[in-house]
Amino acid sequence: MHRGVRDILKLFFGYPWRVALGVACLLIVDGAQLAIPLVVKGVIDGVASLSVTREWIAERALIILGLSLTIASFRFAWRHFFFSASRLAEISLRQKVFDHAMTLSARDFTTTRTGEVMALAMNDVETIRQALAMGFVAGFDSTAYAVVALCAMFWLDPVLTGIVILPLPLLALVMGVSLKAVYERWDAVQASFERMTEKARESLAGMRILKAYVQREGDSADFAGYNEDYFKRFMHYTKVDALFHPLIMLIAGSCVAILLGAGGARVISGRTSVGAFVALTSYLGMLTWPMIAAGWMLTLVQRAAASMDRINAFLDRKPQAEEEGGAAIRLSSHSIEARGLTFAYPGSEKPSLKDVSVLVPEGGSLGVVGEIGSGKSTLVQLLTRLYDPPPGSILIGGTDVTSISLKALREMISVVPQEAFLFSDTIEQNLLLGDPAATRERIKAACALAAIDEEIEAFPGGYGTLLGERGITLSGGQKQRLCLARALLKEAPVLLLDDTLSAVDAGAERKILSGLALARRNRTTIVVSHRVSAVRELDQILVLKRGAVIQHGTHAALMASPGYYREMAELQEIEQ
Amino acid sequence: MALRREEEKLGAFTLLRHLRRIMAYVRGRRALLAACILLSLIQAGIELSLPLLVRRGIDRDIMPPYARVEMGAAREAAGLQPGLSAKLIEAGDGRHAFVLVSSLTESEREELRARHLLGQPGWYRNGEAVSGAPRFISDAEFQKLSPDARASLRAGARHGVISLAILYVALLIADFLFSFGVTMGLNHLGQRAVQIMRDELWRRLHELPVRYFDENPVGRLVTRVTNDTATLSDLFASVLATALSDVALFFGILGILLSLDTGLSLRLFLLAPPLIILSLWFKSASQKIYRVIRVQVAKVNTFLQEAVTGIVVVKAFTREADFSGRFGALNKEFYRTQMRLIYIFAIFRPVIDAFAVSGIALVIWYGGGQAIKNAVSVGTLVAFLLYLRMLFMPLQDLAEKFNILQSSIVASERLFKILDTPQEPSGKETSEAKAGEIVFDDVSFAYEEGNPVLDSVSFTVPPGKTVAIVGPTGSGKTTIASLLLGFYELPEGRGSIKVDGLDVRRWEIEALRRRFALVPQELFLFSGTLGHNVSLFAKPDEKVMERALKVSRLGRVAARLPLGLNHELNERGTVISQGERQLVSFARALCHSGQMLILDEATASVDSRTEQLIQEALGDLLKGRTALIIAHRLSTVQEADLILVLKKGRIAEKGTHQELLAAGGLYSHLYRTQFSNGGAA
Repeated sequence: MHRGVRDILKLFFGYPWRVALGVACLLIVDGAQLAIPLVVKGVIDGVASLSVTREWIAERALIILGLSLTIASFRFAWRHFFFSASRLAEISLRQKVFDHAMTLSARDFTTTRTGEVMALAMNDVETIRQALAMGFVAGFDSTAYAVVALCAMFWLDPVLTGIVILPLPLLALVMGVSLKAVYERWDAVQASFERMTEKARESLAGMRILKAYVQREGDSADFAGYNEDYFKRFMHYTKVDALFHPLIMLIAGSCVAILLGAGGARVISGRTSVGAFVALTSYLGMLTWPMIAAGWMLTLVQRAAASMDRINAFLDRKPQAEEEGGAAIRLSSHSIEARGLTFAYPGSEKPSLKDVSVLVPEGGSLGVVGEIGSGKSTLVQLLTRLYDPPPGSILIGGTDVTSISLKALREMISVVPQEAFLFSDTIEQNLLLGDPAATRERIKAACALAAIDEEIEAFPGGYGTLLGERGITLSGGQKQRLCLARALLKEAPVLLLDDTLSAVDAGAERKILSGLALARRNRTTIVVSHRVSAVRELDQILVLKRGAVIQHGTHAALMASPGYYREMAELQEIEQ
Repeated sequence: MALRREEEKLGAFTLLRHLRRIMAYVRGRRALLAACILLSLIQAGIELSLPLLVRRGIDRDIMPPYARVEMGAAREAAGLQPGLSAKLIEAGDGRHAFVLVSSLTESEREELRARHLLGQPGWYRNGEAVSGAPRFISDAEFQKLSPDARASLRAGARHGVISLAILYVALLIADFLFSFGVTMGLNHLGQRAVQIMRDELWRRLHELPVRYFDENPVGRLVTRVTNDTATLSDLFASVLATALSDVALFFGILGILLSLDTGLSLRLFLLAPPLIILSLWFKSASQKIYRVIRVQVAKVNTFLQEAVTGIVVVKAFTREADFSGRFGALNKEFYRTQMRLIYIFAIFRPVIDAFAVSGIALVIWYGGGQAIKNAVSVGTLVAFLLYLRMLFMPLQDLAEKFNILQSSIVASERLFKILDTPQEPSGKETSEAKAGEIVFDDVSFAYEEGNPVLDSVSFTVPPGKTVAIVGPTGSGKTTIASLLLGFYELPEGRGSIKVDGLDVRRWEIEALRRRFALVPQELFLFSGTLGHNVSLFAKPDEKVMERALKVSRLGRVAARLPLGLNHELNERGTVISQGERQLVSFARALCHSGQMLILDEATASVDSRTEQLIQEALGDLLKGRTALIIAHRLSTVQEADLILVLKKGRIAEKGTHQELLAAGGLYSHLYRTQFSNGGAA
C-alpha cells in the first residue's frame, strides 16, 4: 500500500476503541435504514390486498418511528466516535510537525520557508483530518450500505434488480472519468487564478513605475489577458462540472425509469408485488449516494495521501546541526579568540573574512565596526556556529567552537540580533523567555538597564501589555531595547550585541551603553555596530573593511591618528 | 426602537441598491439571463412531475383497476350523483356492480366512500382475453391464472407503464440538457460579469493617486481584485436565477401535496415548526462556536508562524520544550472547541434525519389508514414518500443562497468603494514649449499636516542642464521627484512647480509624465523577459531599443545571458545584480521618449566593475537632457551644473562642485569623508 495511505490509517488506528465502536454503530445505523423500505413494503402490500387492519398499520408506523430513533441515537454515537478520533489524530499530527520544526536550526530555515511549515501544520493536516473523518468513514459506510441494499433488493426480486441496476456501472465509469477531468480542469483554473493574483500583486507593487512611464493602457491590456485566460479556463472547467451532476442524476433517474417500466410490467403480470416495487424505489434512492460518495472519497484520500507524503518528507528531514555534533562542554573561562580566521561562504570563492585575529580576555569587551559587507555579520555567524569556522580559528575559553555543541554554545552566549523579534504575547512573557524563573525585581532591573522600563510602565497594561496584532505596536527602537532586556535576563557569560541598537536614538543609546559597562562585571562582551558611538567606551575596537582588519585599538588611539575610523566618527557627528 | 427599524430599512435599501448596481454587469446579456431563469423554472416543473408519473403508473396501470360495490347502496349513491349510474357495470349476480376507480370523479368517490362501499380496487375486467373465465376476476383468482393468461389480460396496462417509463426517461433527458444549459449559461454570465468588473477595477486602480497606494497595502488591493470579485460570480451562478426555481420547487411540492391529500399534508406540515425551531437553535449555537473557532485558528496560526519565524530566538534561549508545551495547550483548546461543534452537529444532523423518517411513519400511519378505506390510493401514498425526500432540499439550498447573497453584497460594497474613489487630479493643459525647463518656486510640502518635508524650496533647472540634489536620508530629496511627476498634489498657496512654463497642477497628468523618464531608487523589476523590463508595454522600434541598450550598457549584460533580451527574469537561478538592475532602469528611461531625466540613485553597494559601467552609461545618458539627479554617491554629481544640498527640507547650500568645496560646508565635509576612503560609500 502507498506509504501515505498506510500512515493515515495508522493515525486512525491509534484510537482503536473509538474506531471499533464507530464501525459497530455505523453498521447498526445502516441496518436500520435499510429495514425501513421493507416495513413500507409490507404496508403497501397489505393495503393493496385489503388484508390488514388499522391497528396493524399503526404498529408498522411505530416500528418505523422506533427505527428512526435507533438511527438517530447510533448516528450520534458514530459521529462522535469517528470525529473525535479524527480530531485527536489531527492535533497529534500537528504537534508532531510543530515539534519537528522546533528541532530545526536557523540554517535549515534558509531552505525551509515559514510558509511551508504553516501549510504543512494547517492545510495538510486539515486535509488528512477530512480524509479520516469523511473519506474513510464515507468509504466504509457507502460500501456497507451498498452491499446490504443490493442484498435486500436481490432478495425482494432478483430478476428485476438485475435489470434495474444495469446503469449503475455506467455511473461508476462516469464518476471515474469525469472526476479526473473535473479536478484537472479545476487545478488549471486555480493555476490561472494564481497567475492573475501574482500579476495583480506585481503591478500594484510597481504602480509608481507604471505611472511614471504612463503604462496604464498597456498594463490594463496585459491584466485583461490574465483575466480572459481565467475566464476561459473557468468555462472549460464549467463544461465538465455542468455535465457531472446532471449526468449522475440522469443515470440514477434512468434506474427509476427502468423500474417503472420493467418493474411495473412485472407487478402487472403478478410476478412481483406493489410493495416490492415501492421498496425497490426507495433502495434505488439509497444506492445513488454510495456511488457518489465512492468517487468523492477516492479523491479525498488521494489528496490526503499527497499531504501525508509532504508531512513525511518534512519529518524525515534531519536537522543539519544535529549531525555536526560537538560536546556539551562546560568551560571555566569565557575568553574569546580568533586566530588567523579566514572564511568564505559555501559556494563562494571570495573570502568574507581574511586573516582576522583578536583576543578578548574573560570579562573584556570588543567593538567591531565597518560598513555593510565588511564581514561584521559573518563574524557573528561564525561565533554562534550558524556556519562553522575552519577548525582552530575561533576559540572560546581556549576550546574550539566547533567542538562545543550548539546547545551548550547557546547557553554560553546571549545574542541580541539586529532584527528585534518579539512574540505576540505580553511584555512580561516575552521577557521571561530570557529566564522563566526571573523575579519582578530582576525583570525591572534588566529593563532599566535597557532603558525601556519607564516606557513599559507608562503603558496602561504595564508589563502585562499585549504586543502584536491584537495589542500595541512598538517602535523599532523600543523593540530592540526590549530584546536587549530579554537577553540581559539570561545570565550568559558572553553577551553579543549584533547591531542591536541601530534604531535606538543617540541619547538612549548612550544611557544603555554606560549602564551596560557597569552591569557587565565578568561577562565577555562583543558589540557589532556601524556606529562609532556604540563602541567608543569598549576596551578595544576592530575596524573591518572588505573582510580584513584595517584598524585595531582603543577609541582614543584610533581617534588620535587619521584614518577610516576617525572619518567615520566625524561624519556621524555631522549627521546628528 | 424606531432608530433600529430605520437602520434595518437602510440595510435592505443598500442591499437593493448594490444588487441593482451588480445587475448592471449583466445588462448586455439579459436575454441569456431570462432564458436561464425560464429553463430553471421548467426544470423545477420536470422535477415536480416525476413522482406524479410514478403515482400514475401505480394507480392507473399497476393496481387492479376495478372495485366491486354493493348494488343497492351504489344505486342510492347514483341517485345523488347523476353521472355515476352510467359507470356502474352489473356483475350479473344481482347483488354487485363493478366500477373503474380511475374513471370516478372526486364527488362520486366521496359519495361511495360515505356509504363504506369503496375499498381498494381488487378486480380485473376480462374482455375476450381469457376465454372461459368470468367477466370480472378478483386479484386472488388472477394470481392463479397462467402467466400467458395474466399477460394477455393486462396487455393494456403493460403498455401503459412502458410508455410512462419512456416519458420518464424523456423528461430526465430534458432535465439533463436544461440543467447543463442553465449551469453553463449562469456561469458564463457570472464569470463575464466578474471579468468586466475586474477590468474596470484595474483601470480605476491605475487612475487612483499614489497616496491611495500608500494607504492601502498591496495585499489588500490584490484581494479586492481577485477574491472579492470572485464572490460575485457565485451570486450569479448559484443565487439569482436558481433561487427562483428553489422557491418554485418548494411551493410546488406544497401545492401538489395539498392537492393530493389535504389531510395527510396538513398533518405532515405539523412537523415543520419544531424543525424550524431546531434549525434556528442549531444555527445560532453553531455560529457561536464558529466564531470561537475562527479566533482559535488565528491563535494557532499566529503562534505557529511566530515560533517558526522566531526560531532563532526560541533556540537562543533554549525554550523549545516550553514552546512545544504552549503549542500543545493551544492545540488542545482548539480540539475541545471542535468537540463542542462535533456534539452539536452529531445531535442536529441525526435529529433532522429522524424528523424525515418520522414523516415516513406519519405517511404510513395516517396514509395507510386512509388507504384501506380507499380515501388514499397506493400511488398517492408512494408519491407522498417520494415528495417527502424532496421537500427539505430547496429550503436548505435557499438558506445557503442567502448566505452567499450576504457575503457577495458585502464584497461588492468594498469593490464599489474602490470604483467610487475619485481618480487622481489632473489638469487639462499641455505646454507647447518642449525645451525641458523645471522651476520650483517656494515649494513647501507635507505628507501629513504638521510634519513638513519640504520647506520653501526654490530652484531652476534650465533646459539641457543637470541639477543634483544631495543630502542626508530623510531630507526630502525623493519628495521633490514625486511632486514633479504629480504623484502627490501640491496644495494651492504652497508655492508652485512649473514644467516648461506650465504649473504641474494645470498639466494633463499623463502628458506631464511623458515628458519625464524616471530612474527610481527602488530598482523594481517586473517578471517577464529582460526586454519587457526595458520597453514595458510600449513597442519601441528597433533603432530606439538598440540605442537604449547601447547607451545604457545593458546590451553587454544581455549578451551574457543565453537568451539575451528574451531571458525570463523571474526564473530561479537567474541573478541580476543590483548594479545590473540599475542598468535596466537606465535602458528603460532611454527607451521611453521622456526628454527630462529624473534619477533617484540606488543606495545599494555595487561591485566595482558594474560601478564603472554605470558611470560610463550615466555620462551618455545625461548628454543634452534636462536632468534632476538625487545622488547618494558624490562621484555622480561632480559634473552637475548645479548642486543643491538639502538638509531637513531646506536648501542649505547651492553651487557647483568647486564652489561648494571652496565654501567648506556640509558638502565639502561629506565629500572628503567619502573620497578619503576610496570613494565607495
